[in-house]
Amino acid sequence: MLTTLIELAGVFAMISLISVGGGNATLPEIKRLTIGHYHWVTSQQFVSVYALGQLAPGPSSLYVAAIGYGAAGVPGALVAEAAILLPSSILMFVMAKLWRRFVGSPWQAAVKKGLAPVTIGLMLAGTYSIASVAVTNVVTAAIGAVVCLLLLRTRINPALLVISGGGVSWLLLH
Amino acid sequence: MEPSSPSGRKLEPEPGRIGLPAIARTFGLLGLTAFGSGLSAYVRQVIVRSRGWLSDPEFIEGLEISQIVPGPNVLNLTTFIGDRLRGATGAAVAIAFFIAPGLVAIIVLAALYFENGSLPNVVTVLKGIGAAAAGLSLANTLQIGKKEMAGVADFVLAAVTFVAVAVFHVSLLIALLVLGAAGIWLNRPGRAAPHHPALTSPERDI
Repeated sequence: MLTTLIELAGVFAMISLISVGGGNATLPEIKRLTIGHYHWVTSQQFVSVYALGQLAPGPSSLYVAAIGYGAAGVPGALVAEAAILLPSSILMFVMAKLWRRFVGSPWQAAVKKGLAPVTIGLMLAGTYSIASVAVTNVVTAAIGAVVCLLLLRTRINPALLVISGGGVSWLLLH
Repeated sequence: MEPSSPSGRKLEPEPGRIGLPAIARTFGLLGLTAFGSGLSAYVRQVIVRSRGWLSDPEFIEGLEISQIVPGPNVLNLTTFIGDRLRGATGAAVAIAFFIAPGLVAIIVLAALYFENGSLPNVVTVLKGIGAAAAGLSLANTLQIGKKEMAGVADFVLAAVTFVAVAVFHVSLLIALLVLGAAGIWLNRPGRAAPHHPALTSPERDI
């Protein structure tokens, strides 16, 4: 148990510090480590807790707490969340103080512009890592496609769409 | 609680004028009602427009830092705003209250899931929820991509990153060190990119 908590803290603190672009850019790495390396969750559980994370309000990285729960119960959830949260937040706190020294530096724009395509590639890989497990037949493919289109075209609350996806799936597949 | 901070205060209103309970209430409410992507726009509505705690230029400065520092943008923004309002304590309170509602929700959902996740009806519902989450993730990627991508080099770099990570399972650290460095080098100062939207049109992310 203690070993698991320490491993959770180590893995998510490391990911926190390299989670450039935030959000889904870290999905492939988290999937690789939590399923393949540490076996904290199965790939089906990974997709399910990621999806449940979309139902909870707040930052998208909250699903990490659910992975921690799968590995070590409530203490695991708290440790995983603290580990993904604190390093990047402390870095942000420090950077906010130092920022004015970098303002106007041409490298500031270079970093932002240069990392953007890599972040997009990572987010696409993150989407793929979820879709490759979640989309298994025509119904799930249609649910994913319709949700994506609705989000691009309208301003519906995404949590509502995710819940509706579950409802439609139950109606058609149970 | 907040000794005068080293980060030149000249642009901010007097520090410490917002009480911790007000910060806790505001960010607790934000945390309870913040769903999906584009959360930075929602935070701006509340903090700049409805509360008037920060000016737009201050908020945009915070957003720019948030986008470069690792971690979810909205969380970094919360740290920034809390710090500007009430120093380190303000940042800690803002983060704690912003995260609390979602953390309680996800722990309850996780407990329910790991208890009942193999019941046939639950499995069927979760299939749809997972598929919908994949659609949500794709929509986020497309929306951000549309804003950030310009030119063939960007698409090539994004494609190489995708193949490296999704197909060859290259680790995030290696991808960032190699491909991120390549991206920064391609945009290095002096290699006169036609424009720097990041610096000239700060509204675009809001």
